[in-house]
Amino acid sequence: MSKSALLRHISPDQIVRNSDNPRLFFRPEEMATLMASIKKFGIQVPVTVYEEGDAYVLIDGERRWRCASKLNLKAIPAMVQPKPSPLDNLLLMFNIHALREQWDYLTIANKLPQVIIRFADQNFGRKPNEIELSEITGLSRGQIRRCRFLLDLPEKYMQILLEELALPKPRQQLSEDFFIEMERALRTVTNRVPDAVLDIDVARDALIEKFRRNIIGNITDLRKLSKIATSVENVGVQEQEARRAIGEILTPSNEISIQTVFSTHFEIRYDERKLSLNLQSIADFLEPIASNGNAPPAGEFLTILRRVHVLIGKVLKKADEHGR
Amino acid sequence: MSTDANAIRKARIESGALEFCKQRFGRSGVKTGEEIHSSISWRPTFHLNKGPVIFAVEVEESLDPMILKLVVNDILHFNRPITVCLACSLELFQSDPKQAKIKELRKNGVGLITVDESGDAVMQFPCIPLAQHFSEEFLSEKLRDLPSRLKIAFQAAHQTFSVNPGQGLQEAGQIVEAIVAAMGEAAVKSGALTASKIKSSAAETIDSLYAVLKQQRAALGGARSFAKTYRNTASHPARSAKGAMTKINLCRDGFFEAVRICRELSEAARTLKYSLRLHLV
Repeated sequence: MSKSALLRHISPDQIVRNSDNPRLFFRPEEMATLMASIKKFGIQVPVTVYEEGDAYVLIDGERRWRCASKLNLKAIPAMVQPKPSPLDNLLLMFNIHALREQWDYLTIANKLPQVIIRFADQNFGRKPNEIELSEITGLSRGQIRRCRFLLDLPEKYMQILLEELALPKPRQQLSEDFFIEMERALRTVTNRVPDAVLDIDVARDALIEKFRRNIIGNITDLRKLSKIATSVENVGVQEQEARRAIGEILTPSNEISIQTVFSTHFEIRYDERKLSLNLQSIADFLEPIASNGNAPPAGEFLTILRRVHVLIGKVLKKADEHGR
Repeated sequence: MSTDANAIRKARIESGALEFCKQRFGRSGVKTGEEIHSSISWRPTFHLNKGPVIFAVEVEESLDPMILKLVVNDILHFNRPITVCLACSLELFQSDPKQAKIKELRKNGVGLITVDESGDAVMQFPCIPLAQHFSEEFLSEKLRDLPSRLKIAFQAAHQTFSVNPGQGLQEAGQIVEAIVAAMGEAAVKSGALTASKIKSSAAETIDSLYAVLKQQRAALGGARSFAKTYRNTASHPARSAKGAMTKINLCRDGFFEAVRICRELSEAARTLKYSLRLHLV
């Protein structure tokens, strides 16, 4: 396609935006820097367009075009390409942004269904799998999965997110990452401890409310909610205990944070499990040395081993005294 | 879903602000998204004619839009007075609690219209053509060394100037007249002039003073020249659009000229050891 592209100088008035452009937000603070640069140096990288009737439709460069129009520029450089197919039209924009500044996840999420439909149109109704979707859009599979969490959001929460994203960045409280992590955590909770969540929207509202009130201080705390849910299977916590903890976290009226619940009741279990795995690995290493007469340990390793030996002795004695 | 979520919000602000401006200034020359002139590197969201002045509005959800910073030079060098106003949501206006950005807008001579959720617009502070604007800080610098009575009088005149430059210049002219009258009174008191020489008009009083205060003729000549150049500009309406434009363009210079003359007359009075009694309203 690029072989037949032509460089022309076109009036911004002759250019129209591409309705397939997935970009939802043109934040003033992001446009300001570009506008200042264009005012000073002009448009250094041509926008990309295709001709349609008397007008040119943008493929790439909507922000540059908007700035040029606002700055009353008479003409801007543009690469004029042949009109792409509907799928190529969309994929061109995906791939351009995969290599450059990334879009918001919601921007991508909103356009992914169209990519899937247009792919199916060109492939006798067959929808792309995740690998194919990753290849044609230039997105990683992880990014696609994150987009799907947003796509599955109920309308009410999609609206909350949209309103939040429309605000200038410093005023945003809830981010796409928050919603992605929240959905991921709630999915884990409903899979592992189904009785803990009676109404998923009540749970969402509780987490949003607590995050807004800073009771949940960090988005990554939501991963600890997942860990609480998987603790039954992974570290042998009783289901009743996990259910009660999740219930406390998902009650909007209290001040109980995920971090508090996790560090009080669950963190030690995970630490124990991690240490058990390490000890198991030490035991596996020492066993052949002890049994078949390999060269005995020496140097710093031996010093540490002696120290650990003494400490283990003390801990075991303590455990015996408590009848464990 | 909108392709640009900000677009809905922006459209509401634009519509509210446009309606407000039409009601307040009339519908003459309303243009949306069009250039003011090819020499100006800015297409305001809309602009209209407010008499001889172009009233241009940028709708933006930012209290410090880059475009307004970039376009100042073009506006200052354009041959018609342009007033610049920002329109934003009331919510954004209220989100600047210390008003740092709002003060900056004001300092730079940009007006502000806010539009609430229901589309109702309010002018938070007015503005005058950018070429005529000067900030309080700038004025303070100009007023340095003036007697405090004159400083206060000019600060009050500046308040008026910030809303109506013609009226503000008129007030500045009245300060010049007051100091001329006070000089006349002091000259009579010192015996340099007879009371009959003090006339009701400032120009005649200046002439009388000019005849007897030979060392102070430069300052008095300046006062006479001010009366000739700016007194009528400020006091009488322009006869044509071109005249109105000239009048607006003279206001800023006239104001500073008034300050300069008052400083010179004040220094002249000090040299003569005159005690001036200013009768300012």
